[in-house]
Amino acid sequence: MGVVNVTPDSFSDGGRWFGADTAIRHGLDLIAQGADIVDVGGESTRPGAQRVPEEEELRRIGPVVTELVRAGVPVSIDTMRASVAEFALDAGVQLVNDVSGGLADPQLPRLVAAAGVGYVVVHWRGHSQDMYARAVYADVVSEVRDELTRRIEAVVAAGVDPGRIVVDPGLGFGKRQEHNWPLLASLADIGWLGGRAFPVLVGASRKGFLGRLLAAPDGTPRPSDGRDGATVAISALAAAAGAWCVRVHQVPGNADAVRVAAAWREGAASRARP
Amino acid sequence: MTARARAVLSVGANLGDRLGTLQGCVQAIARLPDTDVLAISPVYETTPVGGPAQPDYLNAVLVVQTGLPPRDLLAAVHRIEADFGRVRAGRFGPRTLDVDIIDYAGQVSSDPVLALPHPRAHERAFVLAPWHDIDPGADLPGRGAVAGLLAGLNQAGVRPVPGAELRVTTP
Repeated sequence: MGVVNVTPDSFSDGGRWFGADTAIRHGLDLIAQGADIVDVGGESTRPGAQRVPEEEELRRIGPVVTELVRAGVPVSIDTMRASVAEFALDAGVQLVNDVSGGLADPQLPRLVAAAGVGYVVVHWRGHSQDMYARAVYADVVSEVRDELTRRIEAVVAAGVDPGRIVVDPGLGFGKRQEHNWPLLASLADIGWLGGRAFPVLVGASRKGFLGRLLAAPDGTPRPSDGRDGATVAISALAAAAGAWCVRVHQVPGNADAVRVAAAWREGAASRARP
Repeated sequence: MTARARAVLSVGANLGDRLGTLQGCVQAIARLPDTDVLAISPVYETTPVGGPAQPDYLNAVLVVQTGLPPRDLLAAVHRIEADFGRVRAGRFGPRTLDVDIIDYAGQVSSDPVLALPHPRAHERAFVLAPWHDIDPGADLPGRGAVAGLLAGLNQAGVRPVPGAELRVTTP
């Protein structure tokens, strides 16, 4: 999954893709580079970000979603708002990536259910302005799994087909540095919820916890454009652990990593066969 | 160029000019790149079961041969739905046009974006009846013969529409 942020303030690409024409071209490039789906978002969810007004979010994503669908690109809409999802579903998107897991706008799951498309339920504890205030866990993996299980129950009650649900541990969303690694190391468990295996989406690309991992000797975090190598490493490890999809800004290295992981898993499976 | 695959598509419309919408949809499918329509079923009228009250559907099934991989075919049918589906009955209501991929070369997948075969097809007489008309020997992968599945369903709400015919018109 390649990311197209139609925002002037996205932390990771510095708003380079702001503007519909540029964003559309970027989406087409991501597909040409090997992405299976393009995730279009008009609201930054970086830590501390203020919410974007609804009309502005619609204005940003509207032409990008419409034109990419028209070009035959599989499109995912990254939004927490039912009105934005509604527009995108009418335009023909195949997946709704709701960073709030249905918490921010209770109407959203019903729209996904009516459209019969895929739904990414992300672990989330509140909007970006103050997300770190809620980043308190005794056992982060258990708590994330429990909270995802409750969100799944809620969206299934709203009519969403369980077979269309993807779960995402929400790396960096209401998580501190030390919370992200146990989640990554537990991807197989994170998809196994309520007695059922759900596909897992991993969004680690260029996130702050990678910047801190790769900090300079003086403690300065590595800037976002220097985090792509670490992102590729996570893509390989996540895909080898069975993740369904990785959400990334730079496609080529990550697409290769996913292919390496697939061959790796195939190698493991062939050894296991008698 | 990969080998071409046989795919089964279900089309349905229940708002506005239903037959006109289906005919336009068939034409749009026939115009997809590297895709030929091999067969088009008779048109059925279906009374929706469950959910909110809504008008009857017209349904049909197409068998196509396509060089598009499953994901590209799905993207293409979403685009066709969007082109014809701008009118909806309420926020959570049906769209003007529904197009589903029922089967793609017998593939089985539980992918959340594209589950194959279509996870509800085995319980839908409005899919199985028209499909059986154009391919009596068809199998729904993992479920069995379409004829047998259809025999086990209540078909009372699914009626052939005399005189309604969908076709690919050559320019």
